This record gives sequence, structure tokens and C-alpha cells, in this order.
Amino acid sequence: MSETRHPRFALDTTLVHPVRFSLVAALASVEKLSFKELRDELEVSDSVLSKRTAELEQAGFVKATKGFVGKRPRTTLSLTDEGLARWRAHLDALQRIAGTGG
Amino acid sequence: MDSTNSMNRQTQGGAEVSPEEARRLLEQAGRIDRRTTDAMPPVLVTFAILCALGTMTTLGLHLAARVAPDADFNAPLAVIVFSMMWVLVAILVPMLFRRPFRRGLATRWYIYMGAWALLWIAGMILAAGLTGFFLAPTFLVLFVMAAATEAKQYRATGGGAR
Repeated sequence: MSETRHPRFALDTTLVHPVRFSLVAALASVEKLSFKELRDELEVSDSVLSKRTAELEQAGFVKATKGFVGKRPRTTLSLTDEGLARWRAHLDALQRIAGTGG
Repeated sequence: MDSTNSMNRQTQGGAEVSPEEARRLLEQAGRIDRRTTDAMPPVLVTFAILCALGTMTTLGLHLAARVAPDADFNAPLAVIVFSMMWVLVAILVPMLFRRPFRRGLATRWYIYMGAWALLWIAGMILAAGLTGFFLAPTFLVLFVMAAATEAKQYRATGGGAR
């Protein structure tokens, strides 16, 4: 029964927001990125990135690790296993909607 | 927390996304992926240098063992000192140009370096004998295997279609 459902039902609504989508897309292909690298990549302000990161952390997508490089604090972000699985499911649903998926 | 997650994950009606919008989002994800990671991991260049050094050092030690002993010049020590300096430089310089590792590469990098270290130690110990002569090209085999693995991983993640 569920196999006949429209692929839009498989979309993860957490990823509908453009910044959250881009943030997860950037983290999906790498082991981890620093906050600064992500901010530069997404071309958003620190506050916007902080807010979206917190939302994704709460949703179980992203893990933030705080550390130091010398005396400077450094926040590193990475996708959780669950986040990666949900991102791949989201892309799969998009491909089916676009008509390019199996 | 779980209820929040499940609410975030899906709504009753799903998200409304047209086929055109879905294609645009997929293209955007592909663009971000290409910008974030390099087609060829820069650490592969470092690994090529380390493997070339492995071959040269093993051969260098093999040849040094064959020259007549000289009280004023320790040929094997010279080979080891200069090659170790190059190994240090080859490892340190990429750290100045930090690039994010493609997913899974961190684990594979430890495997590559572990195999390289074992070969290097074997080369240091066995270089003087005939085994050393045959051990030297093994570094080339190791590099080709690493490069082939990375190329395969790149294609597996859709790299060939870029």
C-alpha cells in the first residue's frame, strides 16, 4: 500500500528550508567541516548558521563538536548516521519526483 | 524529542515539490557537493610523494649497502636522514592547506598510511639484501591500489557523471 504513495510523502520536511538543505548537502559528502568553512560555503551570517545548525542538531541531523586550535575555539560540524540516512532518503524522494530515480 | 523528530521528518501531506523544483534542488545538491570536495583528494598527491620516497629510500639503502665502506661517510645514514626530512615535509605541507576529507577517506587514509609505514619499516630492515631490491617497487603497487580505490569511490558517489 505504502509503495503506491506519492514520493512527496518520503520528503523530510526538515530539509525543505533552503539553508538547512544546503547545510546538509555540504556536510553529506565530507567527514566534517568547521563552522567557518560552512559559513563561507553557504554565504550566510554567523547567526543564521547558528540558528539553522541548532535546528538540525535538535532534529538529529547534525553533530557539533567544540574544540580548540591553539587557543582559538573551533566548532566542527558533521552529519550523524541518522542524518546521512535521512538525507539519502530525501534525495531519493526528490529523484523520484523529478522522474530521474529508479 | 522523538515526537519533535518525527514531526520534523514528515507531515501528514508531505512537502509540496514540483518535478522542476525537485530537479533544481538535486542540481543544487550536486553543485554544493562539487564545491565542497575535490575530484582528486589532495592527500593522494602527498601519498604519491611518500610512496616515491619509499621506493627511492629502499633503493638508496640497497645501493648504499653495496658501496665500499668509508670511514668518513656513512652512506646508509645519509639516505635515511635526507629521506626522513622529505617525509616530514611531505606530511606537514598539506596541513597548511587544509581541505575537508571526502566521506570515508579519513578511515581509508589511516589504512593507506598504515600499509605505507609497514612497507617503510620492512624497507629499512631488509633494504641491504636482495629482498630490498624487490621491496622497492611495492610502494608503487600500494600507490596504484590507493589511487584505484579513490577513483572507484569517486565514481560510486556519482563523480563520473559530473
